[in-house]
Amino acid sequence: MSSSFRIGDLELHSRLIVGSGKFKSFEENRLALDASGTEMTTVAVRRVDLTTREAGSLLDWIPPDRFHIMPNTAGCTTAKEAVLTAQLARELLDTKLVKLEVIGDPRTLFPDTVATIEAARILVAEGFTVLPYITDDPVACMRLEEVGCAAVMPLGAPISSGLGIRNPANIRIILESVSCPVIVDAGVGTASDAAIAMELGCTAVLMSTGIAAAKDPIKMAHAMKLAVEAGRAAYEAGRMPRRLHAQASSPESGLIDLP
Amino acid sequence: MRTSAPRSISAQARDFEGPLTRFNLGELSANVPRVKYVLNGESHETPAPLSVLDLLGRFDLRRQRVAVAINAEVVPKSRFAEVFVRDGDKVEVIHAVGGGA
Repeated sequence: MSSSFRIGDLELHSRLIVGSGKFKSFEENRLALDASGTEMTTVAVRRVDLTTREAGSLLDWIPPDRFHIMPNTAGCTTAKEAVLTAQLARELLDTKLVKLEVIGDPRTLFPDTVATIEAARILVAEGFTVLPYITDDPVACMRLEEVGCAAVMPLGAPISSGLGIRNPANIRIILESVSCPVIVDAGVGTASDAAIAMELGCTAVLMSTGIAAAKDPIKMAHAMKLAVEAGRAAYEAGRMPRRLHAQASSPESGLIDLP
Repeated sequence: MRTSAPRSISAQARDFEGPLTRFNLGELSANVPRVKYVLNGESHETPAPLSVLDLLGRFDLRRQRVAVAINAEVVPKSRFAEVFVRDGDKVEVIHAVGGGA
């Protein structure tokens, strides 16, 4: 087991954070969370549909006494919307955590950096533990740390794209530029993507579709657990330097002679 | 912060509404004061007074599983019984749904 880490007041052991989007059922979602070993999950908040009677609640399957629940502000396009959504979520879930998302473009779902920083400043002042989704922009991450975010969460690739870590160099620069936890949020498509994020030195990885859209989400949740653990262990172990040319790994003396 | 309806008026209204409701006349009577409000984008009209707790009851919503804002201001759960919906209010009732990365 690799070392634990802190987000705000929380100490976490699992470096995998699993969203609750796109699962086929509440039951599948819960089984995937259990298989992933995660201690934290994200949820969205939306208007209650008043035309249908409530058919069970997500929170009945993902009880707040079993998982740390981090509400998100997904779908918000202004700082004002994101702040009210976070305030409602805090009242609903009795948590200071918020995954701050302010979407700047509906086609790419890239964040609005300016509005994200503005909302982060307001939410930090209101006592929230703010984890913002942001592009892999080191300067944006620095600004978010300056306004008091508990972590920064650069995307590896567009949301639900499964394209993996498209710019590992920027993730490395972000890791050098901030001292708060760096959590790759979005883009992870398979286990090796998660391992790469962890080998770069990221604190944790947040994913949802990478698990939920797999043919067997519960098995993929387990694969992601192993990948995150392996990637973290490899980071802590320190990889060997890369070389362009081969270097024999068996002794070059003492070889037998043929007659 | 929103203020509560004066206790005496709400108590009177309850006394008034009770027997009418028993005979299923409560919603028909023109004498009962009514409140018009927008709930999650839909217009509604209901006999007044209407506390947030009453509102949740009308729609079979569990108070532990929802959060409420009126005119973009969060209503704390602890005040659901004492905050009343007023004419023209925009009410949002939200719950947790699947979502993430």
